[in-house]
Amino acid sequence: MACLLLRFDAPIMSFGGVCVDQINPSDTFPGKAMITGLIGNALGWDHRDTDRLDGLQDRLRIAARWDAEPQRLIDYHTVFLGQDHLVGTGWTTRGRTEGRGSGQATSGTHIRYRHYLANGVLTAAITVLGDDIPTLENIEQALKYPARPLFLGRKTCIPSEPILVGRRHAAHLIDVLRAEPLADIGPRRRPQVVTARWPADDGGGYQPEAVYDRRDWGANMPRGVHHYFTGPMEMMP
Amino acid sequence: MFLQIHTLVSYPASLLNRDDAGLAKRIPFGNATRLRISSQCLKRHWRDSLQENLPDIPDGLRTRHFFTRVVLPRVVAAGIPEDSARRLIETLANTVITGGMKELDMSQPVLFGAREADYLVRLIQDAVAAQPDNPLEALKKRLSDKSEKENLKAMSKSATGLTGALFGRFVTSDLLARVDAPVHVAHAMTVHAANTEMDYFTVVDDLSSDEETGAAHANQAELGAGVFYGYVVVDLPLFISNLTGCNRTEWKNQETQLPKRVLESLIHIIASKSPGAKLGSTAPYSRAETVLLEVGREQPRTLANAFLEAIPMKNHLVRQATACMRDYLNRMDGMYGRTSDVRTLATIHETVDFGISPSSLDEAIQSALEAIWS
Repeated sequence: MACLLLRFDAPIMSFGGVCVDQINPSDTFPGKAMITGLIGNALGWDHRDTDRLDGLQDRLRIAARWDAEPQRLIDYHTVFLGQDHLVGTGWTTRGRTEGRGSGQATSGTHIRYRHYLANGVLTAAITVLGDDIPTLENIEQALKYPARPLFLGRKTCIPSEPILVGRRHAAHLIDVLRAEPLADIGPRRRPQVVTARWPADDGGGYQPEAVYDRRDWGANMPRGVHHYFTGPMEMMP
Repeated sequence: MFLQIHTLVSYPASLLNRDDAGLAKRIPFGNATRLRISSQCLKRHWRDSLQENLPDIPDGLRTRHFFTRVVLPRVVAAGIPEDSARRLIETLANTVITGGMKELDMSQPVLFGAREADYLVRLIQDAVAAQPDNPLEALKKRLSDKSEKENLKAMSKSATGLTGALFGRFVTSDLLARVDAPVHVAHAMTVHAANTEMDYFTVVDDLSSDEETGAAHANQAELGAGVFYGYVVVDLPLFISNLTGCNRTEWKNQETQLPKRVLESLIHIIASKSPGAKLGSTAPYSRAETVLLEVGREQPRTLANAFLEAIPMKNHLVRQATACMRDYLNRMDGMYGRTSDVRTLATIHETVDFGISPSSLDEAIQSALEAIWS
């Protein structure tokens, strides 16, 4: 099986976890929705290309490992909702406005806690099932010359290096990560044991975990699950 | 096509960006914790300055030809005869533009981007589909509907606008109305380890008599000085599309005067605007000592890793940081090949040789803009 090896090296990155109220946590590994958005962005798609995004997400398989262990960074962030450009501006293409409703959280200063993973370096192996478009070649090309700037979860998370490392071949995604030497991480923290997350159908783990890493792009909300193994990964000698 | 903006700026003892405990924002990076300024904080100050610097571009305006050059061709392309299309657009424009308008090419620029154009074209197509023999009546009926009226009023007010065109707009759940930000701003961080001090201060009570002790108020603030590396990337096709309503692939065919002025202003602001708080007590006003601009097609990347090893606190930190950035850029070019097409540089540290002759900031900006539209 052919796949693409990606490297996420950025001061901060964020892998959109389950958001509750004003807390926007990050998952510990990139999920299908995040990588789908990343590739869609590289291909020049936008939020309206919901069918293509859904299609790509269905075909996508991801495994990832941390070469430098990240630390959680929680960014405190406020928005004053009374700013002129935020009041009375909620037009929609549905022919009616969309307001904020009523209640305490709809006016005044809104507080958010955005979680990031700081100072980490992650290596991922991705592939797409089937021969539909975009093919792995299309994706490879788009990552090399992206239509838009690429970012790792949020627009402020801009990578330090080209994301695309190159093409690899193996029976399973996890085998690619086992065989790939750890990245040069400079003075960052090398984990004692390298941790990885990989699709449960690749086998080799103990307890599969349900990860809610898919998005319903048309409805614009998270929906759908994939099963993964998470745990220590033995590198091939 | 991307424009990347790298800056190095030194701030004296100040508290530029705080967390919820009132302490300076930080980030663990490389081998040390650094001071940090969040992108929200930076953008907030830049947005305010842009409106001050470009007062003749009221937030939300761009082209006078929106209806004739963007909407009309699309309606005609949808198979509606030009006569009829013009009449329908006139009616629509008179509803959407507050105070109405005399002719389609307006004397005043208006405020709409690509998402607004999509919706206005669809309103006309819907009217034609509903009543092929009298679309004008169908359109008028739709425009007099109460929810639609309110909706178009909100559209006028939200207007992609100058700051929306730069920093995005996301006010409802409607993906079709969403405007993505073409300006991506990284959190700025120091090139050296965070070095702060708790500044204890009191407010003396001037009317206390001699036997009364204690201050009227006692508190402390965390102050830190630092040399910050800042990084911004502009997605030029999307920026022009947001600004003019054109498709992003058509960005090079649009008039260039307005986008050039906005970019020029944006770079100036990035290089000189303080994100500071505590203005009265710390005067955190500094200008970037090094500004590197890059124009190119390859994946934009931050040069933050030039500072993974925190720079030791001795000698001239900004000059050292400038040299670090140059060395890192050379190493990256050595590994990946030249990673941008054109680079221009403005710096006061001219002894650091980038292989580019340093110029004034204005000249560096002009050369970069020329490269974009060459």
